[in-house]
Amino acid sequence: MNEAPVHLDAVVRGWPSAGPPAPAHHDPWPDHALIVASRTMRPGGGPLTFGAARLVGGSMSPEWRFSGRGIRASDARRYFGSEDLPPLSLEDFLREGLWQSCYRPQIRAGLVAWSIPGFASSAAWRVDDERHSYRFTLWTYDDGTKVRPDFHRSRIRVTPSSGGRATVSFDNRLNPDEVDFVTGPDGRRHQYRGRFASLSTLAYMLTGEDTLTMGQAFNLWGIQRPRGEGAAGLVGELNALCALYDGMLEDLRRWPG
Amino acid sequence: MIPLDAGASPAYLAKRVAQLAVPRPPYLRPGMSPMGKAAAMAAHLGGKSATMIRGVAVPGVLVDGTAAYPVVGSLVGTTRWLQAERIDQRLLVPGRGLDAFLAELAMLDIPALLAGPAAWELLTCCLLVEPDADVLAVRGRGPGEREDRTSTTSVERGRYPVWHMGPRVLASYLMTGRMPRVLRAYTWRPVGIVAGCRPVSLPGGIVFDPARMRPRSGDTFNDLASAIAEMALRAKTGTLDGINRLAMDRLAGSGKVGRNGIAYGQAVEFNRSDRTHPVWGPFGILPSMTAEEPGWLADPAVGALATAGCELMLTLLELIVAQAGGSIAFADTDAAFVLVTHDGDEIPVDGRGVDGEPIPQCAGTITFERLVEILNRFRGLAEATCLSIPAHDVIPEGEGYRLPVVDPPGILRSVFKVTGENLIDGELWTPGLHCYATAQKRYVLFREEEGKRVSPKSSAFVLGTLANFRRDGELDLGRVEEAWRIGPDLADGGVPAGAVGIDLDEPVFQPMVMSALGDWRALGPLKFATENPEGIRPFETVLVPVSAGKHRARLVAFYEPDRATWRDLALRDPKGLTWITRTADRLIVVLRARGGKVQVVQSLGAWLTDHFSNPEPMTSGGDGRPCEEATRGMLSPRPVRIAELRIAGQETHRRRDEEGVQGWDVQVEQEVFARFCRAPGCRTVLVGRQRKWCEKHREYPGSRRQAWAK
Repeated sequence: MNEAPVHLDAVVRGWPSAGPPAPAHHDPWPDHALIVASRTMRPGGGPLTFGAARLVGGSMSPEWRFSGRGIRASDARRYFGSEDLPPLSLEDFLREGLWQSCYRPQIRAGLVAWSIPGFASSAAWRVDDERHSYRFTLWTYDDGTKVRPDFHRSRIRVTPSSGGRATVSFDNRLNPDEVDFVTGPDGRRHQYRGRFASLSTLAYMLTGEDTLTMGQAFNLWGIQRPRGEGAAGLVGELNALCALYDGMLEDLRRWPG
Repeated sequence: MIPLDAGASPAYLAKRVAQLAVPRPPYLRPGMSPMGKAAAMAAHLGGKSATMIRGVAVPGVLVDGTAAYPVVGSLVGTTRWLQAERIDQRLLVPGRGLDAFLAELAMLDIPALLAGPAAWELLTCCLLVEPDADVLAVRGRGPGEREDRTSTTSVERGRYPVWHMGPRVLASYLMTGRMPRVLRAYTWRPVGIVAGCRPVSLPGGIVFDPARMRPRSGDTFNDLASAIAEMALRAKTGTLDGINRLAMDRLAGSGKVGRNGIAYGQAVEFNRSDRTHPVWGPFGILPSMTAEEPGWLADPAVGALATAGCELMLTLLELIVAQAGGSIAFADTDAAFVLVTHDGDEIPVDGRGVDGEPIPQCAGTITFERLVEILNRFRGLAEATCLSIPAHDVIPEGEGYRLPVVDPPGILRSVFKVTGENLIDGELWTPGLHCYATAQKRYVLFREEEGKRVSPKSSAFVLGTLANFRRDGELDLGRVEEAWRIGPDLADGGVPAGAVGIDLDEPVFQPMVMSALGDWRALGPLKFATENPEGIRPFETVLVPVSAGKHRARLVAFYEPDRATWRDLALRDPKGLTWITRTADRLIVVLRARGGKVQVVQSLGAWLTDHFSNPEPMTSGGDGRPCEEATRGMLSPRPVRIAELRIAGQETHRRRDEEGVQGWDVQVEQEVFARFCRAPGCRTVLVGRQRKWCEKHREYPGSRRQAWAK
């Protein structure tokens, strides 16, 4: 190597002299989970069109079918057919299904979907981008002249991190009830933040494969990929997601908590 | 049970075990000074990745390290630092122990390193080296380059000394026969076990017990990385107790990421925080502050030693292969492609210079039997780890050898394995595997079978980031293989042999998930809003074109899986204007047809031609000139001289380097904490508007400063 050396602008890492934050406290995962499968207007996302949900973990497993904002009730009934459950509007589902199951203190189920950020975004009426996070407004009310955000119901805050993963929580709501407050491990009281699990993130955690599609995850857990178009495909996907959720719970039980 | 919303990666599972077993993070472990940690952090570089034979198919065998990071951590002992009561740190300077320590290092040779962990434990040190034609790893960019790259090359005498971990300094010593000039060194030894440690069980009955003195008793290990590596190894071979096959496959995958997280990744994990902290550089504390914050397991010496140890392991393999008259086509972190032929003779290599002129070259090869002997020389290291690294018999069969797994000792047991890509039916090695490499991490392995080229492994590096190589979101390995089949012909300017199974005229698009806030904000009026309910929502996947020639605007299209529609896909820019895309050969049609905004997009054929002719950076070809697109054959690293030095924070998301969403120029730059004055010996940090010289040296005569710049 007798050639002239390349003049290099070298880079080395600096050491931030700081202690790490204490490990975050997590309460045990709730017994109940509201599992949601949904479709969007476009293959890559966009507004929610149709969805199906099931509350698992109890003696009963109530289910919902729902349609997105702007979808006419007749179109929704035609999509789901007469033999399936009658579809609700998105706001009705969010009120009856999500709010009652996942926020109100009677159940406080975890909300589970393949991608919670994707579901929250597709169901949102409005999104605000803050410094480090998105805040999705799901609930609205119509005062007769204009549709407005319903601040009495919590908005959903999503803080993205690398690889499409994110931290999700309920934001504070206006005029909370006493039962909305919980006490953290540090003794401070705050409004309930909710429990959210994206099965795509869990699939990565439990397999080490970071670009798994939903179909590949079904294969890895030995679950038959749902077939069919329209509502049958959607309900098939909901069934498969429920099986995937059970499989993931079983895998997590092998690890020390 | 771990709550479902507690973690986001397999490394979290491993971290949780660490938190349960050891009551204190490494940060609170006494012994290491901030300057010691800063030295280790400055010495931290990624693994070695280099192409030695470019653009020529050569026969051989791919060997790969088994659980390389835990193995190295186990040998140097850093995987047991987690539970250490304290670290005994010594600062050695000339006249105060440095000479004796270097003399001890100089006693180490290949046999001593292969004998067992005793020699490796001496390498838990960080040395401030003044390079002078030493073969060392450096990261940076040459004149005119915009990206930093890591290369192992001859580093000439420069303006700045650099910190290097012990294994890298020893690797240089073994390659050059000359110990680098060391100005000072930190050495570290773990002492004791912190009170409050407790055993924790992993899936499959493997136990991590930090209080144990012996590395392994039954299924109990005293280091976490090894315990997880053992779990993953047994899951891979289907021998974990009480777990079904599918679950074991999943555990093998998560265990692999988890063990690497404990042995390497989490030791150099940093996250953004809301607080600011002081920063230390290679020569002391810096005037700047940062919002970066170490993770719970951050321990820079552990992370830096893991990659440095892997590089030493690869260097040992390269040296032993070279001593046997062989050569290597490429090396990548813990893997290498060793040239193997039936007679072990030299083979001709059709080298070419920058201008395409032929440069006949020869590459040494070894026989498979010789390779087995070489790999088996690493047996002592494999046994020292106490892991269930499989042993093999080597039984002649036809033209090749069968490598059945047997109970140890067997004929072959090593920290390097003959990978599955070399084998037929999982254990039969036959000659015929070829490697064609073009640049770092860009290679294909193939065999010729019945006139057809079969690829057991085609690197999807960068290719996998294109929507053109995905079907329903999943990587389409058939298209990746086809790209590798025709890519070399395209790079040579020729016509691919046989029918081409992919449409080379289709435009190139990349899928991009709009998750980062900066990316979504950059959409401007295309963003979803109550008034624009059909706009692009956060976390929506869109398509971004790869522009050819001048990049005229940031453009996106709604995600469209049907490639047939891509030619007429309407794109929008952040001003809301609609654009059409055309590949260069269809541009004339557009110009004749109508005006309007047009972005020229690369066709897949043009993109593949660029991709497969991408030169290997920081290398020279057989003509002695820097590697360019036409360069073929054996490469040698170009010497470098460190002319400038930046102190930087965590590398940003590797989108630009590796995940290539080109044409979406919303990038988060790597935070630069400091630059230093260019005057020789000056360690003053530049502040304010200073770019090259500190306050004192900018007053020096220009001629003198020009002389320094040279």
